[in-house]
Amino acid sequence: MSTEFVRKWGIGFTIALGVFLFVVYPMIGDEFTVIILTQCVIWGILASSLNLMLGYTGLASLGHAAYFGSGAYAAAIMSVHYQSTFLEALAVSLLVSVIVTAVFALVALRATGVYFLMITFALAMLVWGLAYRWDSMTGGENGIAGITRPDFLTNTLTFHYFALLIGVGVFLFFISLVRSSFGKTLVGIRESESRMQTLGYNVWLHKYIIYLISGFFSGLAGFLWVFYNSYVAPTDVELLTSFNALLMVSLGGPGTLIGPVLGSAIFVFLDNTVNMYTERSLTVIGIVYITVVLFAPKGVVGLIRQLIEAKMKKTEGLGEEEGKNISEA
Amino acid sequence: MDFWIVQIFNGVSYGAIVFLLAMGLSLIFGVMQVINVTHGTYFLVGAYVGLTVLRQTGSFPLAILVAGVAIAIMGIIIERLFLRRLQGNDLGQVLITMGFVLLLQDAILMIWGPDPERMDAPALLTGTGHFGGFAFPVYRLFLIIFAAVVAVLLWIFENKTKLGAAVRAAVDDTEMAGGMGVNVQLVFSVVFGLGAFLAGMSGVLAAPWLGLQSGLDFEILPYAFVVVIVGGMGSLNGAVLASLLVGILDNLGKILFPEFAYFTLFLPMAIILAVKPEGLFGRKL
Amino acid sequence: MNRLIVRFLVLPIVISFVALLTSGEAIAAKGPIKIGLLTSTKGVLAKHGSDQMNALKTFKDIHGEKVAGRSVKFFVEDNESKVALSVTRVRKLVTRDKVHVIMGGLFGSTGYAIAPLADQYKTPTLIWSCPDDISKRKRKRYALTYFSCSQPTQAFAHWVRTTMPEIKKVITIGPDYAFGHESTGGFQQVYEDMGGKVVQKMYMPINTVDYGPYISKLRKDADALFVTLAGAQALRFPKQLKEAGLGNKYVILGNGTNTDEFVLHALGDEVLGWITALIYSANLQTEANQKFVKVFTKHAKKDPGYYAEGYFGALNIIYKAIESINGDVEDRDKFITALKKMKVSKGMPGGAKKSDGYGTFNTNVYVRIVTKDETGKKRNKVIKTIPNVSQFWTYPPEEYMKRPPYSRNYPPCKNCGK
Repeated sequence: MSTEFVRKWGIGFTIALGVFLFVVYPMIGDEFTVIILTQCVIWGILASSLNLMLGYTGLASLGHAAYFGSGAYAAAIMSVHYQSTFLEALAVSLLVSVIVTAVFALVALRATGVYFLMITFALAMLVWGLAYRWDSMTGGENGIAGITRPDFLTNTLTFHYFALLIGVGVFLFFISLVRSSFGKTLVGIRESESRMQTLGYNVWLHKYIIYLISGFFSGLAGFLWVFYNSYVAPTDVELLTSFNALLMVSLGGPGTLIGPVLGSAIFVFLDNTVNMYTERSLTVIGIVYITVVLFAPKGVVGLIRQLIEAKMKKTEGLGEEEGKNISEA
Repeated sequence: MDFWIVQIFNGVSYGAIVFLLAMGLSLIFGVMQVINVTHGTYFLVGAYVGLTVLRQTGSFPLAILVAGVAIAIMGIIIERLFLRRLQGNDLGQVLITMGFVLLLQDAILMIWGPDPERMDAPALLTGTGHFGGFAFPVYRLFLIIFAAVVAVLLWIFENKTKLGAAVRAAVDDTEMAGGMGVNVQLVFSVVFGLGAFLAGMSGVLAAPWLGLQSGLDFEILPYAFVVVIVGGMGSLNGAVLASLLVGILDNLGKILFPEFAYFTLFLPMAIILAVKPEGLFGRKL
Repeated sequence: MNRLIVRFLVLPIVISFVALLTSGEAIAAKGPIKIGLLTSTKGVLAKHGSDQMNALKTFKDIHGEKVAGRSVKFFVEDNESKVALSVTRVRKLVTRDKVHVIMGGLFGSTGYAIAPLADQYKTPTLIWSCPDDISKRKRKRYALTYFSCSQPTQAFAHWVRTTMPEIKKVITIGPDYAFGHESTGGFQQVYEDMGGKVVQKMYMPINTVDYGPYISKLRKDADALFVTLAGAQALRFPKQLKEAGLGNKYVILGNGTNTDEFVLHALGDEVLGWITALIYSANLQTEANQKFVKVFTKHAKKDPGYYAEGYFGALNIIYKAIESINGDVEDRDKFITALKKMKVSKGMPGGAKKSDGYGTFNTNVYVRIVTKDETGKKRNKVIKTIPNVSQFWTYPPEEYMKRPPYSRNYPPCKNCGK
C-alpha cells in the first residue's frame, strides 16, 4: 500500500462523492436539499477564496465579509435600483468588490499577524456600517428584497447547476493557481516571509495580488448569494459572517484545496439541521469552533490524513518486523 | 454652544463605558497578543451576574464587585485551560474565543432567558443634575467620574507598582521581559484576569443605562476594538484618548450624519490605521 | 483523543448529513393540513418569539388541532431574529415540509423579504409583521398582512387632533427602519392634513443604546412627542427621557408598541399617563379577550401583548378560512381567495377583522392610557375604541396609493425648522 495509491484512491473517492452529491442527487432528491447544496457551493467559493490567503499565504483575514458583501450589495443595487441585466449586475458586482479589495488591501497589508486580523476586522466594519446606515442606497436595516433571477435561472435545479458550474470553474482555476510557481511562492511566504524577501521576491506584491484575487472571488460568491436568496441584508456583512468563513476554512482544512469546500459543506449542513433537534444551536456551533482549534487544527482533511498515515505506519511497521523475523530465521 | 456642550458630555459618558471595556481588551491584546473576541460577552455576562446579585442583595456596589470577580475568575480559567496552549496561534485564539462567545451566549439564554431586562441604578445616582443651565443625568456623571478614578488607579498600578512594571515590560517586549526574569506566565494570568474584571464590571455599570439584552455584546464590541486599534494596544493613555474620541465622534455622527453614522466612526479609524497602523500610542509593529 | 474528535466533530456532522437528506415529508394525498409558522427564539426578538409560542399553545388549547374534519400539523421555524434567515426557513417550509399556508414574521422587513416567495411558491402567506406596502402598492396575490403599520397611527392622529386640540406642535421620534417610518408617517400625514403641525422628526438606528444625542436635540417649543419604540428601545427611552429632565415637559403620545404588555411590567412609573394607540390592549373587557388572557396567562405567566394576540388572531383567521372552503387547502387558489375575503368577529381578542380587499384587514384601533390598577399593576386602559379602521384611513384607496409610501423622507417635514 503505497502513499501514491492511497492518495489517488482518496482523490478518486472524493471526486466520486462530490459528483454524486452535487450532480446526481439533486436530480433525484427533493427541492429543499438542492437549495442546501447550492448554499454549500456558494459558501464553498467564499471559503476557498479566503483559503488562498489564509491557508496558502498565511494571511488570516477577519474581514472577508466586506468583499462578499460589496459584491452582494452591488449586485442587488444594480438589479433592483437600476433594473440592470444579469450580466451588467455581474460586471458591476465584480468591479466593486475588486475596487474595495484594492483599497482595503493597501491599508491592511501594512500590518501582519494579529494586527492584520484587527485591521481587516475594522475595515469590514466600514462596509457593514455603510450597509446598515446608508438607507437610500442599501435599504439600511431592511436590506434589499425582490431581486429576480433571469428567466432561465428561476428553476431551483437550473440555478444549482449554474452555481455549480461556476464553482467548479473557480475550483479548477484555484488548482492551477496553487500549482503554479506563483502559488509555490505564496507557500514560501507563509513559511517565512523574511526568507522570501532575502531571496529577492517582492513579497508585498505577491500578497497584494493574492488579496485581489481572493477579494474578486469573494465578490463573485456574494453575487451568487444575492440571486440565490433574492434578498440581501446587513446581517450578510456582519462580523459573524467573516467568522463563519474562517471557521469553514479551518474546519475543512486550511492550505488544502478540498478543505474549504468540505468545511463549508459541513457548516451549511450543521447550520440547517441543528435547530431541528435542539434549541442549543449556539452551544453546538460553539463546541465545533473550540474542537476544531484544539483537536483538528488542520481541519477535517488534516484529520483524515493523520488517520490514514497512522494506519499505514502500523501496517508498514508490521511488515518490517516480519521481515526481520524471516531474515533472522 | 449649548448643543455642543450637551453632545460632548454625552459623548464623554459613553466613552467612559467604552474605556472600561476597551482598557481590558487593550491590555490583553498588548501583553498577550490575543484578540479576545469574548470580551464583549464578558461584559454582558457581567451585567447579568450583577443583575442577579442586585436582586438578591439590593447592593449596587456589591453587584459591581461580584460581577467583576466572577468574570475575572471565568477569564483566568479560560486563559489557563485553553488560551495558554495556543500561544502564537493567532487564528486559533480568535476562533476559540469566538467559540466561547457562542457558549456564553447560550448560557445566558439558559440561565436568564431571552427577555431583555432592565436594571435600576441606586436612588442616590438617579435623577437629573443641573449645572449652569444644563440638565444632565446624574448617572452619566457618575460613570465619567468612576471611569476617571479607574484610569488613575490603573496609572498608579502601571507606573508605581512592581507588578505594573512587569506588565509594562511585557507590553513593550514580552521575550525580553521574560529574559529579564519577569514571570511572564503570571503576568499573563494577572492581565487576563484584570481585563476580564474590567469587562464584567463595566457590564454592570452600563446596565442601568443600556439595559441588558442578547446582542448587546456584539453591539459594543466594535467600539472597544476601535479604541484598541486607534489608541494603540496596551496603552493606557491611548485607551483614554481613543475612548473620548470614539464616544464624541459616535455621538456627533449619529446627530449630524445619520446615514453615515458608523462611517464617521470607522473612517477616522481607517485613516489612522493607514497612517499609523500601531495606533496613536502603540509600540511600533 | 481520537474518540473525542469522533464524538464532537464527526458524529454530529454525519448525523446532520443524514438528517438533512432524510427528513423530508412524504407527499401524502390528503394527510394533515400543514401550517408553517415563523418565529424568533434567539436574538433580539427572542422574547417576542416566546410570546408567540405561548400564543400558539393558547390557540391549540382553545381551538384544538383539527379543522374542517382534518387534523392540523404545525411546523415552527426560527429565524434567529435575522431577516435573511427567514427566506431560508420559508423555503424549507415550502419545499421540505410542504406546508399549505405560512404565517408569521416579526420585523417589518421580514414581510418584504418573504412576500415575493409567497407568489413564487404559490403558498398563501399571512404576514404578521406589518410591511405597509405589501397590502398597498406592492400587493402580491398570495400574500396578505394582519394589519398595516400605519393603520393605528393614522386613526390615532385623528383622535389626537379632535380630542386634544390644545396640542399644536408635535415632535416625532422613532426607529430608523420600515416600522418606524410607517408608524410616524401615518401619524404625520393625517395629523397635518387636519391642520396640526409636526415641527421636528427624528429617526434613530434600531439598536441605539444611548438616546442622549437625540433627546438633547428636542425642540423646547413643542407640546407633545409622538414616539415609536419597539422592544428594548421601549425599555431604554422613557428612562433616559426622564433622566434628561424632560419627563414631564411634553405630552407623550405614541404607538402602542411603546407600552405593549410585552414590556409594560418592566417599565418604570415614568410611563404613567402615556397615551398610545394600537390594535389591541390586554385590558379589553370583551368575552373573547378575557378567555384569551386567561388561557394565555396560564402558559406564559404574564399578560399577552399584541404580538401574542396577533399570532392567535391570525391562526383564527386561517382556521376560519379553511372551514369556509371545507378543508380544501390543496386548492391554493381557492384558499388564498378565501383568506382574502375573511370577516371574523367571533373569538377575536382584539376585535373583529374584516378583509379590505387590498390584502389586509380593517380592524379596531384602541386608544389607551397607562394607568395603575388597584393592585398597583400597570395597565393599558382603553379610553376610546375606533371601530373598523381601514389601512387607508378615510382616504380613497387609489388616491392614497398614488402618493409615495411612507419612508424616512415621506411625508416631508414642511414645518421643521420653523
